[in-house]
Amino acid sequence: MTLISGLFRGTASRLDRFLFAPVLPGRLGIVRAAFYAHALWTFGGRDLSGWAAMDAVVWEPIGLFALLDLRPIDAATMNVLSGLFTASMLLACLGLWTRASTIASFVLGYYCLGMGGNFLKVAHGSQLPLIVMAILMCSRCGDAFSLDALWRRWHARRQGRGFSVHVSGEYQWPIRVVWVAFALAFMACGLFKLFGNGWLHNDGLRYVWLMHGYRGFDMPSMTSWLLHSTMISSVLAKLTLVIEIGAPALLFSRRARWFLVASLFLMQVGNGVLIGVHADLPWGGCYLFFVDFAAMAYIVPTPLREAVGAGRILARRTSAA
Amino acid sequence: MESELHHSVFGAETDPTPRRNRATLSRWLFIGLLMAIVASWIGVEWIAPRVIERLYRQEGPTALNKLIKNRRNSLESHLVHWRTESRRAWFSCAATGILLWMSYLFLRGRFVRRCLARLDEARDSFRHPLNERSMTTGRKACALVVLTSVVFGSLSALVLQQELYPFSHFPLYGNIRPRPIVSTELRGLTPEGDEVPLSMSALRPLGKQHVGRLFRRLAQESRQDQQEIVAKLQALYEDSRRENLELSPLGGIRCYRLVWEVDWQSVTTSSEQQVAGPPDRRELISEVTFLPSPRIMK
Repeated sequence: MTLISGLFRGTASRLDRFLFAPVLPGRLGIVRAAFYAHALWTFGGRDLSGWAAMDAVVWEPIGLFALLDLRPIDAATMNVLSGLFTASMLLACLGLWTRASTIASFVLGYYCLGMGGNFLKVAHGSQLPLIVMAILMCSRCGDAFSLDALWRRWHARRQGRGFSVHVSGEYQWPIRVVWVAFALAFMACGLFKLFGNGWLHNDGLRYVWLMHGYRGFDMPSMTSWLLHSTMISSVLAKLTLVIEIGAPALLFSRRARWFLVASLFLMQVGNGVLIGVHADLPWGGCYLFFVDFAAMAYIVPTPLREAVGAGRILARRTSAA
Repeated sequence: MESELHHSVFGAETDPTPRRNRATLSRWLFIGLLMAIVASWIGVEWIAPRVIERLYRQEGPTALNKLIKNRRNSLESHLVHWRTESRRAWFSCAATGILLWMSYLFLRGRFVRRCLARLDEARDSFRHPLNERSMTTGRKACALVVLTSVVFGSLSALVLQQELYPFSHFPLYGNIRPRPIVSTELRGLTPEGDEVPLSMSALRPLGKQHVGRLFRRLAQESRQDQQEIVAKLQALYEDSRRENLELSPLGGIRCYRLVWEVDWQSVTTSSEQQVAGPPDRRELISEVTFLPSPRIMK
């Protein structure tokens, strides 16, 4: 009994440290701005008019579309919704009315990005970014690096009140939950390959490269060159599997995180370059959650650090200590 | 001030001599590796072809001339063979060298340790806050609900092997069997009945996979549904025509399944060759005829 309660307490304490270690809001704010900027570039301004009334052709609803009986509306309204989605992402990127804009981004994004998935083929590029939008919607990501924060600061000064920055677990948990979603998504990819039919035995990567060539993708010379050797594709296929299934390790080990996140990023870039799949890196924004923007200021060379003002913060803290 | 600052942040060096020796050794190892890579590349690409050429013409030492056995093949084929094999060997050696170098760095942990130490220091400097705002129980519960939803959603999609949008089991490239490579092709039918090439983008927003699956299901639908689908496809095509004036008026569309019977595990290509030649088989999936009397034939 003592062992069980000890284990429970230990796990709870680790989870508490993992999710709620108090940090400054800067990192979450920067990541929010960068993520929405990337989402704006990737998903913004899409023409959705083509989906209007397409449910007459074929309609196999998924997720909330089936549950709430959501269907395509007329072409003009679809484009208005797409415009609103783009605008909400822009506002979330700038951090203006952040709570409202992040909620709008998720709700409209679910409808606009998920619509194509109801027509027999689900596009997997939008799924993880949508989960990230849902997480950011529940967080206090607008407390720094946002127009909202500037407004609050200006307002406080105007009223003669001081404005102080707090550290809190509020700014840590959204980043950590995104890590969990990221790791689980890649683990699912890996497990499907492992328990699927023949990725390992039949040199799946080689098949994928060739298949895209036959289906009309203009293969770069590098793909043709890689196809010369069965060894390279075989080794890379096995490595892909290990990295994808091992993705949850990034939650537990800092060294593994460096290796895994870099490898997964290179893998996705490789997919884009070699076979043109997700060449615009729709999951690219999710990698930003692994960049410690605040701490990066301390790794860069001293003159640059001084230039961005990080040295001054450090000096102040050192003298205070 | 700067040195004090640096000292307090990054910690004091204890005995710098062994570290300096290690740094010198590591630098020379790295330079050696780079030189070996460059030298071997020059050897493989520049020197060796000239040597092969001389040996092929029997202009070298007698013992070495015997290395080239089959002189019935042309010099070009020998050189192509050499380039293929040597590049493969060179790539493997260079990759192994770089991997060994990275493992050396990693095991010694110099780079990683230094970076982690700096990150720790940086984080520590954030852990002496002037103000700390603790989270309320409600907010913590909210965070835990979000975490649980993400984990539960992802694992449910994984276990059920279903799309629970936005959660998914990501069925990407899981079914790889030794089978022919297939693709889908659209052909337009002119009012005179001739076939003309038709791009998939003519039926936007439907993509290649949407179109293939849709045409496969078309024959199974009831007659009324078929007519509705054909009318919608025609409307999509007319929309595309309005945007792209190069598209000609069509009397219908045919959808084909292209099949390449290739042994894809052994096929090789070169950058000069296009991968896909003409397909071995072209099977009609279905055909739609546009208004005034939309109908389906198979």
